[in-house]
Amino acid sequence: MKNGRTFKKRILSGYWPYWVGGVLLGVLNILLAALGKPWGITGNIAKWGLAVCKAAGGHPETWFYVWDEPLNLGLIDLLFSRGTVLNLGLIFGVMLAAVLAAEFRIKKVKSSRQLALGIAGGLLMGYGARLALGCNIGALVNGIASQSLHGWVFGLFLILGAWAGSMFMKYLVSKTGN
Amino acid sequence: MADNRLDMLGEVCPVPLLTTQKVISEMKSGDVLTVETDYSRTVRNIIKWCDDRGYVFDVEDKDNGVWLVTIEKK
Repeated sequence: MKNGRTFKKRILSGYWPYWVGGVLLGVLNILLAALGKPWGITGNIAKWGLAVCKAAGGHPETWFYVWDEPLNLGLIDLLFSRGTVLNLGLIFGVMLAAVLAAEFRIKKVKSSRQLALGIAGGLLMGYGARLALGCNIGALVNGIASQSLHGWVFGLFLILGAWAGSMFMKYLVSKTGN
Repeated sequence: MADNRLDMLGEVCPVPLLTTQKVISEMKSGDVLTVETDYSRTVRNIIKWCDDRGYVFDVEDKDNGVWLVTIEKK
């Protein structure tokens, strides 16, 4: 039982501290804002959904949801759009970080329960993010940074939601042990 | 002294820590629990909790991104 200490040292000091990540996020976001608009993630994902719907013969441009900006839903244009490049870069960057830390692996799905919970959680998060017109990045970080009240409202309910979710998890674990 | 094993692969926070706490609370003093996880934050969570309680622990890199945390109940 001696390796625990060395591992602890590595996992606590081997990773960058939170403030370094925060400063980097801030500086890069200022750069993005100067080049057009600040960072966002889910707007582009929603556009992909609309584009697929349109390609399949639907008419998403008539939906109330797309009132705020004219949409270019051509699949090729979308593929090379700013949002798609940023999102692919995000995925690639996370993968790179995992590979460099020797933590990259393809995770197996353990049970259909885990799969169903993952899909349900993803749908709820995605739907909620678009109702709020942004996720942690677009609505919380950029909302607060741009002095908008909606960022603070988003943050408050984010904390409430996280608290309620934790309580629910605690209840589930105490009931079933998993 | 008994050896227990907990498979937490694919589970994300806070489930692995909560489950570990529950299993350990049902163990006897001196029993050992090995938690298998593929979530690095879970390792941090569990060893922080062990430190707070003064439990002896060990962490082993089982594979890329998979860790075995062994805890001895005091």
